[in-house]
Amino acid sequence: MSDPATGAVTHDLSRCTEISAGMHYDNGTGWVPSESMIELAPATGGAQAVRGPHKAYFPPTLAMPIELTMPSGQAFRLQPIGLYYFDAVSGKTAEVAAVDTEVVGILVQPNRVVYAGVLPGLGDLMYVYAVNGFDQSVILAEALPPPEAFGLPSASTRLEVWTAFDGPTPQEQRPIVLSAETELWRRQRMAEPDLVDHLLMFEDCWFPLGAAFVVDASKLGEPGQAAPVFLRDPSDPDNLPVAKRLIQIDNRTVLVESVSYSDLSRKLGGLKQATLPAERRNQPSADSPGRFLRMAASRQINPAKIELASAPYEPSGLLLDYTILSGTANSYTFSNGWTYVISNGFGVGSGTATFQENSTIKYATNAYIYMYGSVRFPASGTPATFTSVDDNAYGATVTNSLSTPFYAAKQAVWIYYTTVTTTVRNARIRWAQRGVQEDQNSGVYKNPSLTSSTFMNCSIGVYLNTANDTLSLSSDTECSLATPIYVQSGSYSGSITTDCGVISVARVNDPSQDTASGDSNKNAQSECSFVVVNTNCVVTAFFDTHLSEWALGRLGYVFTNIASPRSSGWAISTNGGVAFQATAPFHPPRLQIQPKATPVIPSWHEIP
Amino acid sequence: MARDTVNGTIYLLTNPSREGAYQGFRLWRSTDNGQSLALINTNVPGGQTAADKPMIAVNNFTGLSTSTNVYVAGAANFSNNRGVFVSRSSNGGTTWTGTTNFATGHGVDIAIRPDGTVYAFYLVSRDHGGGVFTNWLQYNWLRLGQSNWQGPATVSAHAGRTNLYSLGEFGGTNPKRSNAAAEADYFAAVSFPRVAVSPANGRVYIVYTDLPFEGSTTDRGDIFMQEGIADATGGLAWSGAIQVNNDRTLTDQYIPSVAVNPSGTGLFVGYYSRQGDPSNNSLIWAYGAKANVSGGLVGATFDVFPIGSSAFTNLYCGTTNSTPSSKPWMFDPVWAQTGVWLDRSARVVDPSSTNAVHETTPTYANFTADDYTWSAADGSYYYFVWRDCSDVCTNSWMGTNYIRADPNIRFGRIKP
Repeated sequence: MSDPATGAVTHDLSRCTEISAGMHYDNGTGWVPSESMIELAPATGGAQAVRGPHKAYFPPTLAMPIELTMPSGQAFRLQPIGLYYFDAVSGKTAEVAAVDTEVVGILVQPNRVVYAGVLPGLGDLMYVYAVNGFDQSVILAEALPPPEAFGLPSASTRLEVWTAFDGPTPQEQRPIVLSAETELWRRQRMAEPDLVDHLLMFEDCWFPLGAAFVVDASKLGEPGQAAPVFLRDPSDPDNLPVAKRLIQIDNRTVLVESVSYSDLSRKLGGLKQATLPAERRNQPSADSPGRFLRMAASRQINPAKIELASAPYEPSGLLLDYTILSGTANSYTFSNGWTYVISNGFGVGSGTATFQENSTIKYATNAYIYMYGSVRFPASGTPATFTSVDDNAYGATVTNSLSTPFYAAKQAVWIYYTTVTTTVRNARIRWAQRGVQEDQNSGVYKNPSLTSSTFMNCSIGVYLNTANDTLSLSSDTECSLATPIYVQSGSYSGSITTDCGVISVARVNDPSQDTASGDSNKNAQSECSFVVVNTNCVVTAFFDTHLSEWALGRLGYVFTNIASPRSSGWAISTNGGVAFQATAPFHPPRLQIQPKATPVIPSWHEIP
Repeated sequence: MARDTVNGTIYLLTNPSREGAYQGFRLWRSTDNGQSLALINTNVPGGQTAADKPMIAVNNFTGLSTSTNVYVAGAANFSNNRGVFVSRSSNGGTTWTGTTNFATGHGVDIAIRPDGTVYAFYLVSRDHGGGVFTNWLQYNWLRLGQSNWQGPATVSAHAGRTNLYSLGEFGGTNPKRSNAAAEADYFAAVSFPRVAVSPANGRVYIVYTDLPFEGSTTDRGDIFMQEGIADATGGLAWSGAIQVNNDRTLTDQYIPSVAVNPSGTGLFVGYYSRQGDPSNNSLIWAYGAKANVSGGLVGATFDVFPIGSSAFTNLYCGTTNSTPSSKPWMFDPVWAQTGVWLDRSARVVDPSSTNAVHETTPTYANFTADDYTWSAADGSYYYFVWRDCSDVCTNSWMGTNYIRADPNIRFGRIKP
């Protein structure tokens, strides 16, 4: 079955459910699998994506807006306007590049539309449609002219991407402080002292934190394959977080993405310097940014038509994006006894993600579950398990499981800038790239906690990016983790102890008897066998080199004057193997029976 | 060792004293839970020459004509060939009957199914000269009420392949001292099979060491396992090889042993692994792997974990860290004063000789790591025992103190 709101739930086989955003959609005759695909729309000359729960339309040129319609019916019209510099001190704005509304898009199959050269002299705009969301990227092929060319200081200037936004009012705009000016005297002089992102929450989609990063073809997926849309990791060192906000300019709503120029310039180093048109130099404006706005045309027949790309689109340069993720669930319950398969990304918020006891969540490689609301874990009972689709040790076996898992979930439990205190408890987390990731906003103190949880075979158990917040750890254990805790920012209290289920390790033989025998140079024990009499009594026997002058071996076999050291030891434990009481070393038995019968270890090595 | 779970008798089967033309095994018996052991037979089963690799098992399944019978197996010389034999005692080891020589193979292990069928698994190593051997796993079986062993049958080591990848003698994967060591500086780690039987459903589990692929030069050992299900004749249909270790490193794993719990749902494999030292492939830890095999071995996921917290030094057990400079890798398992038996080609300090260091060709000492580890399971825990060399000791020779790795035995108890 499928959730009309999320397009999420599908195969229901033996209490095993596959769940991911936008997997299926209603095509009018029933629920069918979604496809990350954009197709030409000959009637309008544009292109459209209609094989998913949300629909998109791409006009031939950006004289008209991109149109997005979500499953709920909420519609967005998004029309990029251009690139701007904004000086956070003076509040002045300068236009760096206006979108060329004559550029005709090309369709890069299966799921990208590119308006190449739409930012004259600087770069392109690329759109990705996927079953789970939508992505707009500015791709700068050349380095931006410095702000000084516009009379603005580099140190306090931000690059902004403006997009005219015509859509519903967000249910929530959750601020995330990306950087803040801490000097009071300086703050008082600044028009916008802080760089603040806003997570924009709508009825059935949301805009997470965007990113800027150096891009080449390798990061856009294989040619011919669908490009992914995913939640970017704000703490990824390759990513520069991009703030966004909705502002009003001349009574129009504009989505403004912002990134510090000085941060950005460090990533622009390898690009060729763009030439600034003379007419655009030294034209800062503080008062009338509205003059940069153009009115969107309505959808109409346009003589230009989007055409199929004749060659792969393989850009290189710097990419700035914003992402819209659809198909998230406001609240979701992972039920007792059920196994859920996460094939890419799944989000829950701003309601509650509930993991009942004995629920199992299995991840494909790089899949994740993010939660930006409340979380609820089992207080007791069988833990909720988070593991790889190839892990058959827990939950239902997933079709085509390899049974030999490796690190799968990118983030198994991703607590994403929540505004409430979260407690992850009684969770069994296995085979994840990151078991639990906590991202938190600067200046927010929610004191998250992680308790009574186990980690096994993860690359990183806990990944902290909590700014000023502190994660409390208690009664947590790990086994075979490359890095139990990684701190990008923030701190933690408590610890994760190592526990691989080994109850006790004891030395069986008594080394003090190596010297007690009067033959201190004979001190090697090996090749032990044992029997378990009961849970208390264990009897062992082992090869022991003590008193080996009895020449048990083949004299002259290798060295004429060196005989075999075959002797024996034997030890008993009466407490289940926690400790052993070893016997004294014994002469190896020859053909006569010893006064006190003693054992000989079997099979000291011989390869004849 | 083996234990009769009906009357509590513990059996210990040991090698003979290697003097002259030595013959069969020695058998010891305890009726007081190991507090004392009585030597009851000095030539088991009788008629063998140069017996080695003793293995013993008790038929602990009740209601059979062979219940409480004791079975032994080992290697011996047959017409100048090394082969394996099996025998049975119905009177607690005092006398032996039905001794059968298979006249080929080495490293035999015994398995008894709940229907009383007895299996002998062993490794056959065929010498092609030049240090090259082909090796394969083979077994024979004796059904309840019959006097003639069936087989041999082979266990294909890998999909579409009968032989092991290893071309070393007795399947030796020959792990090197470290990745940086000279090619000839390796030690022998044999591929003798070890087996366990589910008491609940009679499924047979065989585990063995082999190279990950033929010609592998850096990774010199992985652990493989198969599940055998008996047909009406007692022959076994095999699952195909499943790799147990999941380290995804080019490091060595070797010398496994296996146990299955009484309900037949839980499987444990213990072995040596160098996965914690992926760069050098030198340090050694004891590792365990456990899986739920309620649905069979195929598709089961093994959880792999370290058992011992301390790594062995990169010096082999018994060697010094300060031997004469020209012999920095010298191996001496016992620090002999007047007696030590060595593997072939080993080097050893001989205190009784002014020549100080004995050695034979080839240049490097291809000594053996261990031929066995041992695993067991009951309804509560898994158990594993191994030789551990993380301790150190100091020995004095010719007026100089030498610090050496001290080979000791360690025992681990593990949650299922």
